[in-house]
Amino acid sequence: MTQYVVETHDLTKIYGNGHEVRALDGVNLTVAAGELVAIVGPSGSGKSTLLNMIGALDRPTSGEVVIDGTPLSKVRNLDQFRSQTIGFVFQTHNLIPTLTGQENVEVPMYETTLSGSKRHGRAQELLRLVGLGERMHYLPALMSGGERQRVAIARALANRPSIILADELTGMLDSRTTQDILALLTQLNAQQGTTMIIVTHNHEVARATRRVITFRDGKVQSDVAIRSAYESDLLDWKSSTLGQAILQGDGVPEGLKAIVPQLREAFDKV
Amino acid sequence: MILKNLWRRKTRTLLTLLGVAFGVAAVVALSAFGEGFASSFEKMFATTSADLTVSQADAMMAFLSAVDDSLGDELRQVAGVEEVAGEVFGMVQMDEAPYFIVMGEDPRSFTMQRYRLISGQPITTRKQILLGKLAAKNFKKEVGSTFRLNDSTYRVVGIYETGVSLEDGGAVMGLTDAQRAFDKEGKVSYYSLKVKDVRRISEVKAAIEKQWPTLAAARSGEPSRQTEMFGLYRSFGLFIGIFAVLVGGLGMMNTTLMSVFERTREIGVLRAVGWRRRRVVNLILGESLVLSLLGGLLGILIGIGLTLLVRLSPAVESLLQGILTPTMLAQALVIALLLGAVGGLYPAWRAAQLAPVEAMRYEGGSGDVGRITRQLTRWIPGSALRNLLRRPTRTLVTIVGIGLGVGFIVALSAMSEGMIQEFTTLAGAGQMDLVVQDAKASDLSVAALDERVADQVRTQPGVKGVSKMLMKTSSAPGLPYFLVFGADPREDYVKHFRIHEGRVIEKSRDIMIGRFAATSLKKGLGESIRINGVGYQIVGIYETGVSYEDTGGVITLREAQERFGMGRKLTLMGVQLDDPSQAESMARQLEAQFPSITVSLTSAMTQRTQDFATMDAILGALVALTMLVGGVVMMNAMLMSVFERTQEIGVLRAVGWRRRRIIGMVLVESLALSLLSALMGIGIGMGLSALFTLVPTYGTFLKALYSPKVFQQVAALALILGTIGGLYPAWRASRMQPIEALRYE
Ligand SMILES: Nc1ncnc2c1ncn2[C@@H]1O[C@H](COP(=O)(O)OP(=O)(O)O)[C@@H](O)[C@H]1O
Ligand SMILES: [Mg+2]
Repeated sequence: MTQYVVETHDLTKIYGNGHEVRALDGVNLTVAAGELVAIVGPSGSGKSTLLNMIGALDRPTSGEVVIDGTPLSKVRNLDQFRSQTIGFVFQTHNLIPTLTGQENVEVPMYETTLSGSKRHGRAQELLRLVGLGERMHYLPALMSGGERQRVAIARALANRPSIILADELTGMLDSRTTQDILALLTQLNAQQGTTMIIVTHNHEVARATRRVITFRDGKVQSDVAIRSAYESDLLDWKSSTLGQAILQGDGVPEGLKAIVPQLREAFDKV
Repeated sequence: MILKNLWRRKTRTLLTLLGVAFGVAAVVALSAFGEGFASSFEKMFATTSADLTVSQADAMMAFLSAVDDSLGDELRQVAGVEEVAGEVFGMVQMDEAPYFIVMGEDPRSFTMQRYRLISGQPITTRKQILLGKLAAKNFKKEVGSTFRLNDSTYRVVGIYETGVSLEDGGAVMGLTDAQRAFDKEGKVSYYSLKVKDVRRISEVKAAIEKQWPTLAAARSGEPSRQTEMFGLYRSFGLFIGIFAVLVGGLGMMNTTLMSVFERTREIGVLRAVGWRRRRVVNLILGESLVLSLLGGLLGILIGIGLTLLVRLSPAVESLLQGILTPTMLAQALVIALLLGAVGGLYPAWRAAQLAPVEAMRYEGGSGDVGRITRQLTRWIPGSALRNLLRRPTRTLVTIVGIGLGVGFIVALSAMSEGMIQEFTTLAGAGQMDLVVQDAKASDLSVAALDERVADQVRTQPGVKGVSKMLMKTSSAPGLPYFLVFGADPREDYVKHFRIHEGRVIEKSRDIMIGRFAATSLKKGLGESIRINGVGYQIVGIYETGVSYEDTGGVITLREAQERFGMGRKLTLMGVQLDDPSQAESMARQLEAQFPSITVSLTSAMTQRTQDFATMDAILGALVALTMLVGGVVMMNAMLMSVFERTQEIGVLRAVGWRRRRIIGMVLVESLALSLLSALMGIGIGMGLSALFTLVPTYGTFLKALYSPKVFQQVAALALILGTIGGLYPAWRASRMQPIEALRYE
């Protein structure tokens, strides 16, 4: 039997009392070791909620998340679990502003038994790995957006987690920097074999991965293994407003109406 | 709009209110007690049916005075005098009442009318005593009970009420009983006089003072040196209160400043839609005034509550009966509003200075680390200090606020230590091993140790020698406090006054004076000086290094006893032992043998002196007050800092930090803050002490001593402040759920 790093079983999360929001609605997913997965979907479709559940930041309303074979509902100490198994990279508010790059990378290591000098050594090693060797003693305020995300990635790797969860990590970056960060992630995924789940709006990011999961209204709309850039573009198109319009046959611009059947056929393949 | 803004940050508003309220409550309660104590004391002398009180001219307070009781008949002969009553004023230290006042009255005299009996009978014979209403309650006595006082037993024959709390907490006995009990045989403390024609009081007064230059006749209620002393009591309360208010006020400034920072964008919008600076200033100032007004009102309520609470304990009530006057409450409100104005002005100015465009671009500042940290990261180790530097203004205001509180404590305890040290040197004069004190005196100024006991102690085996000492406050022209020491020229004690010029005293009209006294009085060898109406010739000038002594003078013991109505009585006695290592067992042995004395090691003597116990109590109250107000201010600052960093705390929790570690982080910050405040406090305190010593006349007596004890106290205070200030914010921080914290805007 294949060992999945992440499994979700009928994962459901309902927010609010009275005015209910079904942020996740019976999600079943599996992610194998070493996979690099992109999660796309319109805003409010439940991507962040899914990541919070997988990352043990929040408990589901029903259903189960299984990480490395351990059901999260059986885990008593979630803090410890998080620090050992999960690495987070967030869109913003990511680094502690009063700590230098190196100190930020050391933050998760406080909950381990590593000695001070071992911590320093590992933090420096990680920062060199993400290409931030010289600027590790600067405060985040003195770094560029790309540099900050590199520190954040290094910090996520600190305790050798099984999975890295990144929520719109390139959301605030320009496209040049986004390219660099993506290259870094793909490289880390290939070199270290770390499983990565990346939530993104960005087509380029999605295209760089090998599997794209599309969310809509708290459900998995599609889950596709990417074989070519053409497929990836198609997928982008499909999840766009226009793509949705074509699928539903409603509000399609005049010029496109003629090729709707062909487009639908193409969409169905991905 | 103002109320809504305050409501937005409920915890902070509440804490600020509490900070101001504790300060104002301290002002109200302390001035109420000061007023109560002073006016109660004054009433004892003012509400009598007497027209004039005749006492020793130089006695600082009526109860320190002593006048021959043969004088009564002569006073009766003065033209215009109708009635004369000698009274003895005694003050005893009892377990139930640290200052128990016992009046000795002639049962037939008019002064007796003041004690309105609410049960029982008047005094008719010896060994009978009347108890005040509060004293009866305090000691749980009723008519018919026995009452022990200074080793004699009295029968309680009646219970009275005068409405003056010090009297109602005290007792009255027959004049002769009182003279015996307080070692005033042949003396009274003062005379109360009734004149035939009230319009001619001044003439009678003048006649008496002319005939007896050493006496002073004061109209009831007339300002006197005594009233001056009470002025001190009254201002003392206000003084302590003001310091509490200062601390609270800085806390207030912090809050307003924070709310301005938080709303930078909003203020930008208001300015952009055309609000003038003036309107912005009014908005911010309004918030701060509302806050201080509410705090002031709350404080007044707490203050009144404290005053009422005291009534529950009869022992305290007899001494401290708070008197609340409308002026006092108005004063408290004005102070609170002033606080609001001062606390709001700077933040309002800051708000008005914001340029609209920049303000609207302001990012809430949660990611900002401040200029100082950015530039000096390398030199600031640890995130605690960097976090404090993120909001330098807030940190500074907090440090100064708490530093002020701590500063007062440092100054006062250093002075108290200094005083204790001086006193110990003074009492330990001539390398005494033991100090003998009057067991029943509540105050050194009223101590009267029997000289015969001294002579008996001298003959005990193991005792090498004794030194008799008399100490009285008097005044000399140019020196309001002139301590007069009586020393036996043949004993070792007199050698303690190291002669600088001239020689040691020998005869009854000889005096040697201290160096400071000589300078202040502008007197030299051979000149004469008048004390209590008697002239003495200066035969020597000495210097001991103890300011009490160097601002005073020494006359022979016999002369001092006569001059101060202390025939064969002493204030203190020093004992030298054959074997000083036996001091402790000797002390116990002597106490067992002579029940009327307490014997202490020279170094421990002040612990057994009521004056110093009182000082300790005042310091204790001040420490408690600082802990309350400072703790609230501290907690507020830490709470703001935690809320600002909600998202950061969310990140820390997300990467796996346990609650414990978060709590630790906040506590370390709060301790760092309190430590810095304590350092600031030590600085402020040293400055204050230096300032105090510059105060004319009183300053000479003040000498700060920075013993390790002072610093230990401050360190303990900082630790406690840091902990109370940090615990709740730390708990709040640790309760933050990671995802909610991350979503927090
Ligand atoms: N803590 C919360 N309380 C209430 N509703 C929430 C909460 N978090 C998310 N939601 C709602 O759940 C839905 C999914 O949100 P989210 O997972 O953040 O979407 P995405 O990340 O795909 O934009 C949205 O409708 C959002 O408003
Ligand atoms: Mg999201």
